[in-house]
Amino acid sequence: MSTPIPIRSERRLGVVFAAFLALFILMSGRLFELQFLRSDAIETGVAKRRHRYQKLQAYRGNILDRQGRPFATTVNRYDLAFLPANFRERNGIDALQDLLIAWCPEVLPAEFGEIPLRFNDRVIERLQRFHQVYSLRQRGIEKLLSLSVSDLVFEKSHLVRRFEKIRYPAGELILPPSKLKRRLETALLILADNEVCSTLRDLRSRMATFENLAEVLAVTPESVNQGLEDQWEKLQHFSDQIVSTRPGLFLTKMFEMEQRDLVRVHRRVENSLDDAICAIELGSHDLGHHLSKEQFESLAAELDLGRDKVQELEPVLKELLEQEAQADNNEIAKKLAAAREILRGRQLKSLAPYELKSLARVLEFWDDDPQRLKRAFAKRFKASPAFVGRREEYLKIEKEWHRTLQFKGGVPFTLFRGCGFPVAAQVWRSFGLGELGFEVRASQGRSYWADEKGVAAQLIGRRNGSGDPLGGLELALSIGGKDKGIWNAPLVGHDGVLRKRQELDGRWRIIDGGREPKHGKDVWLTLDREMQAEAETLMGEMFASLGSRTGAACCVIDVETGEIVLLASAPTSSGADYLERYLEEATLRRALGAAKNARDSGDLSTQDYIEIQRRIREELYYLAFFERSVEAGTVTQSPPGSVLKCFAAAALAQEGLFKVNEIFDCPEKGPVNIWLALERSSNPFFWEGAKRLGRAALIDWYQQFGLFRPIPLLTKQRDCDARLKQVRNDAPKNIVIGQGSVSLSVLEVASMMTNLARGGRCVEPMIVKRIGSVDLKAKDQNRIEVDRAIFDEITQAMLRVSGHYVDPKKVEELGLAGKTGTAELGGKDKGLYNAWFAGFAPASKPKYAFAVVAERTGLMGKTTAPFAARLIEMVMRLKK
Amino acid sequence: MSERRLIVFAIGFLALSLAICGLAVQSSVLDVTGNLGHRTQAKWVLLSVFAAGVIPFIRHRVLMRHSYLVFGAVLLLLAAVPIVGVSRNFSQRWLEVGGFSLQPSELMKIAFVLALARLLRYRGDFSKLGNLIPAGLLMALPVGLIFRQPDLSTAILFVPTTLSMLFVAGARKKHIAMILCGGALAAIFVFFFFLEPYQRERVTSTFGSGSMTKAELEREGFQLDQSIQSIGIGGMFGKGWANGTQNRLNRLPYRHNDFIFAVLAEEFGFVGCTLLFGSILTLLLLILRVAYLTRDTAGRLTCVGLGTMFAFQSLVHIGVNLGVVPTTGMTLPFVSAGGTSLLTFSVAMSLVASIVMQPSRGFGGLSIREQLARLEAIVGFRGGKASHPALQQMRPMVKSKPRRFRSS
Repeated sequence: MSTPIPIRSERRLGVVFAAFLALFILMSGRLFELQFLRSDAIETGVAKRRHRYQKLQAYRGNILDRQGRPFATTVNRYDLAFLPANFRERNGIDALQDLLIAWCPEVLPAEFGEIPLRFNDRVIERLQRFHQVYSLRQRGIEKLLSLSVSDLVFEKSHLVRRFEKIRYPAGELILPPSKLKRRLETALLILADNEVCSTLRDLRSRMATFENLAEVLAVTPESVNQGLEDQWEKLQHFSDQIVSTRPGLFLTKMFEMEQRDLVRVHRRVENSLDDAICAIELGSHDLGHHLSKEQFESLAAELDLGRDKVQELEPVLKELLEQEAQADNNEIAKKLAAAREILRGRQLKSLAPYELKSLARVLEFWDDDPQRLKRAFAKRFKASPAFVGRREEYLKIEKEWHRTLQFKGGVPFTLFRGCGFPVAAQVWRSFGLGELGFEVRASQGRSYWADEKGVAAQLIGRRNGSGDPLGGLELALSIGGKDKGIWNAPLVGHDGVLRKRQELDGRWRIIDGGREPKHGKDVWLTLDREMQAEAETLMGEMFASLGSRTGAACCVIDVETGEIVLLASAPTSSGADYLERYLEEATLRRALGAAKNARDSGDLSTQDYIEIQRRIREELYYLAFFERSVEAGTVTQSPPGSVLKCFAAAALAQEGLFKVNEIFDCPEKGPVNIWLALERSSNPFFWEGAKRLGRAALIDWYQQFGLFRPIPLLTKQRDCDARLKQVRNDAPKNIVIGQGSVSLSVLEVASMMTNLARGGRCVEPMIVKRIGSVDLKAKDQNRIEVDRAIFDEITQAMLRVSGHYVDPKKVEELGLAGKTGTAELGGKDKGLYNAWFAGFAPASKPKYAFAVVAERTGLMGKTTAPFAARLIEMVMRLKK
Repeated sequence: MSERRLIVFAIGFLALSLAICGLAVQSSVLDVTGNLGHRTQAKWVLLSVFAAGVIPFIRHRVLMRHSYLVFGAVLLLLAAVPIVGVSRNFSQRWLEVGGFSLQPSELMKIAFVLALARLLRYRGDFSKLGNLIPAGLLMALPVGLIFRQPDLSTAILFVPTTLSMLFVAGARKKHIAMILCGGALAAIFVFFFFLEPYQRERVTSTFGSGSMTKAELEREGFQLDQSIQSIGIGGMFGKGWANGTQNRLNRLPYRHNDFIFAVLAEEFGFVGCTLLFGSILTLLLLILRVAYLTRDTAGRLTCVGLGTMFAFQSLVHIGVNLGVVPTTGMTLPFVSAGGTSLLTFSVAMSLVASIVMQPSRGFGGLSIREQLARLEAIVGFRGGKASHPALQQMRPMVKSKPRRFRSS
């Protein structure tokens, strides 16, 4: 019998409906919020993701000589690159392997599933498997193609079981299980390799239509087999013909790259797990900032990461060397490279404390390294019972990270860098490498004139493989700033942007709103490249014949226009040497930085630091990396010696401190008046003059002639100020004869000589003649109030000086007015001189001002005079 | 047209409209990926229409009589799933029968409602909490099996269904409230001790997205994020059929079933969604109206159970898509892809239609009008005048002219 329904049940029906109505109203509210209140923001976000921006690289401007011939030009280059992940995803043999594991594991030999999973053997395993699959391709393909579509189970659990059964190493399961279906579908398409079944859409619709896999893929076992053999042939041919190595070695190399990718992923997974452990257990993964100093030190002590253990670096280093020998590990190799830079062939015992500290830091041995502390903490935690209890939670993090990171990209491995397009295209096309995951990547290169000789290499500078300027004008002309006007990074252009939008059919279409690239401007220098090459040869000769320890340099400036005609030095670097020396220089600078840090943290006394700084700077000075005609005065001590006496004589004469008829009894040179003192380079005379003039006035006079005045692109205000500060504290006796702390390059001396030759009408030397279409002119500077007669007397004195040391006929022919300088050096270079000769020519109507120096030589300044004459002769000849 | 016929017609019309709307959205979704799933869905629609046409010919009382048997049979199928079932997406929920995939948990929805309706029909006294235990036990059997598959969302669906049937059957409000509180506590317990990690993640990604890192959001809240974006860009009238950016660009996974509402919202906008809400609520209202009209306890409870099942499932699906309910694989009845689900709800609607079309023969289960017609048949009624004094008293209770009861 039915139970009579209570009357209230009818009312309750209403309650049920009311409840649902209320819930639906709530849902409507949320819908309203999303579709009206937040719709604009959401739509913007979605539209943003439909757009893609492609960079259109701007060309870097060329550096040209005064006649428009290139010193450095931008050229199109192409890299032939190989992406390990692409190779794995696109080659037929790996595709066949995956398909066989998924659906025909019985074809695979028993040992296929028994390959040991030892870490170091993986590359060999991979190679073994690759060969095995290739060798059993016929049987495998036949079996596979005979399957009916209903046999193709795409179920994740099924596939994961199959792949696990075959003991596919976890790290090599290159996609997460959720992507296995897609991977197998792609593998089927790779095997099909025809137009009938070329997209996923084709494959799926054909799978719904046909019953047999061979029909679905529209292939026969023979055609698939032939396809695989072709691919194998291409690989062999490629490695034989292009890489010049055996196919096995080439494959090994590629698989090694693959292995590195895997190691990278594993390391990131490990790091993220360590991060998670620290974040959960200690409250932050950023231990460096989160923990107080006391907490940090107590944790470090607890984890046995004592600071006093620095002497135990030796076993750490040994262990790393062993690891490096056993496995190909980038991290270890990097650490060791940094360690070697610090060691530089020395034993640990001979390292200074600050170097030990620096070494400990690069080997990550310090307790104050948060990374090391984090790793140590995580290691200890993983071994503790607490970790076992929460294993699932941490495993989940590990698994998720693994999934997130797995093969997001891979590191491209460049087989050919910087080849021309025809070569790249030929290699790529003729070997069908596109199918195998190789690709041609467009890049920009820089071509330098006479790169193998290295003409003006230091002056022009170079770019590294990534395109970063490393020094010289390449760097100076790449530095920008809003207030720099025309000097705002003229070589550097602005990259353009190509805007693309994804249409509803999935294709990307170019749309408006992009930006054309703005290429860098061409920069015309005032130099002439032939003249530069000859001058460098001459400097090389002088460097060799005068027995200079470090180098020789010269500078010639056009007196009328202020244009720098020459800036040459020896020795020069070729393009390849330049990069090598750049690295050496970086190492030395790093050592200098380490010493500075050690001094700042109190590990090194200031006295020791100064000594170390001096030693490193000396080492730097011996490098042919910097342009010594420009930087000699700032990178290291380069006193100009008696060359400065010309300017001192002008000051003394103008101030009237020495009358022409006033005779000074010089102990070495006999009785001299002011012009004779200049000709004979009498030090006591000029000491007396400095005494009468005073330090401040002397420096002021020198400055009027252009001492320590920055020259655009070549010398910096900061360096000039620093040197000036030193000079202000020096004795007038030193300053007046260009000794002590006075330090100048040939460029600066030539610049001062230019102002002297111009009769005191100062001009700012310039090295850039034109930027883009804008012609530049040298800026006139101050006018020195010196009587014309004084300049004439100085010129005559200088002509006489030249006459002493250069063939008088040549002096007459060239009108060579010069002044020698023999600057004594101290410290390690005691007994050596910087031999100078500077002046201008022709004396009657000066056209060129010059300065020549042979550094660290045992000879006097006069020895450089003949070379200066040859230099001016060459300039005049070539100018004609 | 009588109200009953009108109700049947309206239920059929709304259900078919929803199914056709589903087909339209399916064809917009699936042609992007190259699958031709909407054709399969169309076959299922035809099959469902056929099944829905057959069910009303089976008497409700007959079904009710064999409801325990049906429940037992489906329970056996459910029990067989862990042994011979097929796994998809790490869940074992399907049985392969002659090339067809069958999801016993879907069939259990109807079998359970029928069985529970029969159980409650004979239990009039719900004054004691203990009397609710048999209903709880009946629910626990399928819920346990479904939970193990694991299919948490379907398992949870049985709880509100049971509660609403108990509520309408006369259970005391305080008992219902106690069960709800107990359920909330149990949910917390289950969350921490029984849920799979991925299930917990889904809950946290819905309610705790503010405190999640970008990486976690990308990993765990991806679907949710995409769904919200799909809905958000729909606006008032939507992007138009097969013009949804998110849909066409394949940004939203599982959009043919678990996230079909997001596609609908993107392509048909607020107007389309409101129409959908209106259809669902109207369908629920019609089902409850049938429950109101019928005097058969079992029939009324069946309607309430099926209505709750339908409305709650719709609500959960929409809630998931809108990001107010943790992400779970729940289909939108009639609209989402999935043959078994479509068939189940079509059968459910036809059951409701059969209840409204086939009145019970027992006195207790008849409406007053039917009782009056039967009395007239017995005592005689001619020319609009009642000869029996009893009929004279009953006449004012029936406003319109009674029709002659036609006995089958």
